[in-house]
Amino acid sequence: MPAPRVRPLVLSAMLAAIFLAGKAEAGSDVSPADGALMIVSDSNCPSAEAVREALVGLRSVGQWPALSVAVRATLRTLMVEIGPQKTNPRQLAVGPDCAGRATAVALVISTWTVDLPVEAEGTPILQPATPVLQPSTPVLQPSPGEKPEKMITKTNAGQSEIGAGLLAATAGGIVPGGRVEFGRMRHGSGLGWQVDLTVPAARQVNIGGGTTRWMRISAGVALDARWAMRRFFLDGELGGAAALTYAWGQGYVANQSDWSPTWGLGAGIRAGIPWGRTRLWVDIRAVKWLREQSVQIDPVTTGTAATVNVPSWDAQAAIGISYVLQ
Amino acid sequence: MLAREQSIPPEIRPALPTQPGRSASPLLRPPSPASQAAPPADEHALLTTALQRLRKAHDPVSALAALDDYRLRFPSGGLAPEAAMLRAEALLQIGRKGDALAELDRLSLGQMPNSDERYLLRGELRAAVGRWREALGDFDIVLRGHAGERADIGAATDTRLRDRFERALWGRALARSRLGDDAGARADLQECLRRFPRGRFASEATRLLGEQR
Repeated sequence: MPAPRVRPLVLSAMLAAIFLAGKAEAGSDVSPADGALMIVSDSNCPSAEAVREALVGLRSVGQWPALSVAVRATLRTLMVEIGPQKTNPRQLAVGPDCAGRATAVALVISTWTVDLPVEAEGTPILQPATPVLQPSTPVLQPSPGEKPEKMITKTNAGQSEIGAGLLAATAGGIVPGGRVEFGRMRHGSGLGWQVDLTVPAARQVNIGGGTTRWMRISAGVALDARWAMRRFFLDGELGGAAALTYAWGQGYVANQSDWSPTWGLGAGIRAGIPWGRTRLWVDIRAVKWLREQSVQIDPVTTGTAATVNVPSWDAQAAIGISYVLQ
Repeated sequence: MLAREQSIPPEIRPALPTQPGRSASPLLRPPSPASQAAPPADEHALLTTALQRLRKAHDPVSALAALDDYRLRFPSGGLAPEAAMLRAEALLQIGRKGDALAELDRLSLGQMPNSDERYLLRGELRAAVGRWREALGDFDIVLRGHAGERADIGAATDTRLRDRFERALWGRALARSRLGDDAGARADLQECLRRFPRGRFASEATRLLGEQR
């Protein structure tokens, strides 16, 4: 095995090095010829040609990148600089074998000069832009004699949201349900309003030897106050609701059904995360029904009617999603 | 001048917190040449085999086998970063993006050549799994690395450089938007459109910005 020889620069490498250094000092990059890989070594161990030969075994010549590579050799190390910027040179411990050195450089070049075609998945989601009033905008006054147009002032009209959620209603037994809603809120923090329709599943009560099932479908309107932060928002709502309670018997001698309206007051809080035009949220809400309701089972012949009160309040926990329409 | 020794520059890493719960596995840094013995011929031979299988035979599975062998025999080999990078490449080729990302997470990219390309790749992989903050750090590094060239990068003749810059701008817009930095995302999209009006993301950026006007 030959002793390591780090010779003075061979003439061709020296010229190339001077060229490289001069270009670098001038603040511009060394650009290889189109489609060419330019390798410059300051030593013949390995020489640029030996590195090229080693590269042939690793990668088809047609796949070589158009880059400049500078190799600097010392007795025990190699420094490989890749690309026009030449940042982060790769330093390698090497032995005296020139072929091994050439292979090491070729491995480094082959590894770090391949573009791996991954691209970011997805699309940025932008929040709706808030119109900004420009106080310095010139205002044109109507000329004398010209009938003034009706002035239309556009304030921060806000945004409409449509949403839906799944809920668990707890009064009279826990049952699932659903809610759809529409609201109008200011951009960011502020006041708004909301209407909704809530349909919980039927609940049941055993009375008079049979089972009475009942469900209360409600519609509400509420005033909303929103506190919007950068990554989440909080809503507080207060409003009124009207409901129809529908009850029907099962397992009685004669099964009948009936319905009855009621109304009440409700309050709730909601926490959510804005995600583009979408809002993911969870909320809890309580409603007090002001008109008492009860289920009554009349005796078939004689006797006393059996009655049981339907809960006069509802508590709901919901999770849902809304979409900002404008 | 070319024969002088040069110290390894300090590692450049995004000054961002790592994701909570993520294990702080040691980074794979290039070993200091001074502390390294010359690599045995077998080490080169194994990596050569892996590269040939990957690039010439287009057989990433077989390349992975050679790289497994390398890792087993030369866990602290002088070319361990190259082996890790080739492993990431092979894993990407067979669609195992998560594993490829794990390899890149272990690499100290700031000390590797052509690191911009790798930061970009890692940023895109991190974005793909929702590691937005870390992805943002990677895209930032790529874009800051070109700070001196930003003025004319849209018209640069180096297509690789242009492509990298464009992808990084788009990636950063994506990460910023997911992190709630709407203004930043918007600025990146506008920059993307300004520099690359006929670029691959131009129509989508136009749509996004126009939709929100």
